[in-house]
Amino acid sequence: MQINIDDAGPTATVIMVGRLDIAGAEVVAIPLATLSGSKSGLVIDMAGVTFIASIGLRHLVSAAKAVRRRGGRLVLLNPNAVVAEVITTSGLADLLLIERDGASPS
Amino acid sequence: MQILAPFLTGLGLFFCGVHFVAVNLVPLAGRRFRGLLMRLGRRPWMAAAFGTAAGVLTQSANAVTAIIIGLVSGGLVDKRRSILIPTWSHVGTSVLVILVAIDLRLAASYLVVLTGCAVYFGFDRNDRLRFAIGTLLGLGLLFLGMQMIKSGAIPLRDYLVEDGFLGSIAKQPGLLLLVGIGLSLACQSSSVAGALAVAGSSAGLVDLSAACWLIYGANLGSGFNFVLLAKAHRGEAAQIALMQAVQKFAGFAVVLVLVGAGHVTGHPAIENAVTALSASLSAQVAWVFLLYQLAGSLTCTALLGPIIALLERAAPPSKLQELSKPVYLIDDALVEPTFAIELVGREEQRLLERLPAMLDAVRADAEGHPIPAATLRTAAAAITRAMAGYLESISEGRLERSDRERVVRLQHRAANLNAMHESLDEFVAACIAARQWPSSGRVADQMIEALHALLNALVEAAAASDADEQELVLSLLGHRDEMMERIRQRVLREDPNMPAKSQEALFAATMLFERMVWLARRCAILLNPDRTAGGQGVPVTAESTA
Repeated sequence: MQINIDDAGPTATVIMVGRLDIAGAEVVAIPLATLSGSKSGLVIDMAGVTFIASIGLRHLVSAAKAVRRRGGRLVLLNPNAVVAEVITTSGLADLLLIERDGASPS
Repeated sequence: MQILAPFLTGLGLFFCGVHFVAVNLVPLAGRRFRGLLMRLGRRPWMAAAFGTAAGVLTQSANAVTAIIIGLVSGGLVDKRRSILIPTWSHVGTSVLVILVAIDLRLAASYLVVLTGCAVYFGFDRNDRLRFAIGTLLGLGLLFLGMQMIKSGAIPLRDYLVEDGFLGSIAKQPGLLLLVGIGLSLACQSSSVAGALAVAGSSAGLVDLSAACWLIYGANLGSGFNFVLLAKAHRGEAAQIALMQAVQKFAGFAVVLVLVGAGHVTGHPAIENAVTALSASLSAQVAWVFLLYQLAGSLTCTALLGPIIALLERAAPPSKLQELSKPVYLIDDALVEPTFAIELVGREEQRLLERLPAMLDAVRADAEGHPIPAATLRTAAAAITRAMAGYLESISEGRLERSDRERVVRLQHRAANLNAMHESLDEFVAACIAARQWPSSGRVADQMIEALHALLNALVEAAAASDADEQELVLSLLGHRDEMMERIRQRVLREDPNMPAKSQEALFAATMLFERMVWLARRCAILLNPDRTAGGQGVPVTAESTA
């Protein structure tokens, strides 16, 4: 899992590439916790994420809850079909908002 | 062979009887029997009294051992509390030796006739009646078998007498010991061999000293029988069987010391004692048998702690047995219902935390060696059964209304938790089948990760007791029927060549996923007292009619 962060401004953008499994979750855990505790919004570009495990979902949910508590929102940008389906099957689509480039949240 | 036929038939019937009693008595052993066993097992002398009575009634330490093994394996009673019961049943079985003349044929016949009629005329309508009839039939067969063994042993004895075999070995202790061992191994019972020794002494075939060696041998042989029985079991079941072997060997050690001391001092303690107790030779032999059992059982009772520690090292519990053992259901806490209810809650949380681990066998990134879902399911069934029994024991006491409501809610939650383990095991099996084809396997993998995330969220919410957290979990656990139908249609549309078996597996996995989410939602609702309306203490949930 590779991660790039742009934290300029009130909303941070995180670009993730790779598998969000146990190893991937370890890479993203601290950056996500830090950003969700300090920023009012979080956009995570998921286009490069090929697989998401339950532990990955867990970190995303924790971050979304932290941002939401402070009135912000967490958006997942362009997840592939497999990742998007895991999120919707988990019932997390209301908490982890999915957006496509140029489209409104689904 | 003709001489042996009635004896062997009796042995077969006896085994059938033991099996029937064990198989039917375990489910029949409701809370009253369990409560009785728990109370009796609380103090060693109570276990001793109950075990002796059980030995008298069944006339078989094997049967009592089999029943206790069944109850302990089924999670109905605790091993430490019940292990002395079969150990003392040996004392009870001495009655067979003492009262060789009692004829149980009539009682056995009545039992077989009554149960036969009950089965033929369909009185075994429900499970309770079926188990009760099965138990009585087992007892009838057991008694009948015992009588056939006894009557079958007479021609065998006569044959040995005519052959001069008994007469020639009567003066050789070593040989008598071996004959006793052999008889016990063949009869699967030291008391049958003991009864033969009594009969032999009353017929003047052997003197007291020779009969004693036959009895010692018979008990040693019985010890070997229990070692063989232990080999067929694992963990606690093996420990209970081995304890019986220890009882027999301990008795032998005691008599060896006494015999040795008798040789040195010139005063044979055992023979002097039984001669003082009775003038009749056969009664003296019967006393020797009884004293042997008392020596073994008393030694085991006195050294219970060290012996159990030794047995636990010799036959450690299997993974399933370890997982099936409740940790918090402490019998002594039953006197304080509010605390006992609290303990059931902790046991429930412990079991709840195992749910995500059931998916580890099929998860892509599970760590370590996952425990098979089927093992966790079986263990959960044992624990929820123990929880149900414990809750029933709590509800027998005087409870405040709030405590009674908590008990009812926990009863519902325990049943729901068991259903979740069952469905999750089936879900895992369906996902494994779905993985045989790429497109159905992909959906299965997605559902596995999704369900794992949901179950983790449920466990965290239950542990946190945070209302917001519980609300969030409830919001995640909406109905999935339409979503699953959409996924099924999409996959079938995209992959029309999917084999029928994979379609079937996909259908089963998605249905079970729906069910799991529904059960998890029900669990979350039952965890929150504000979301359940207690009518006569019975929680009513939005899903209760679903």
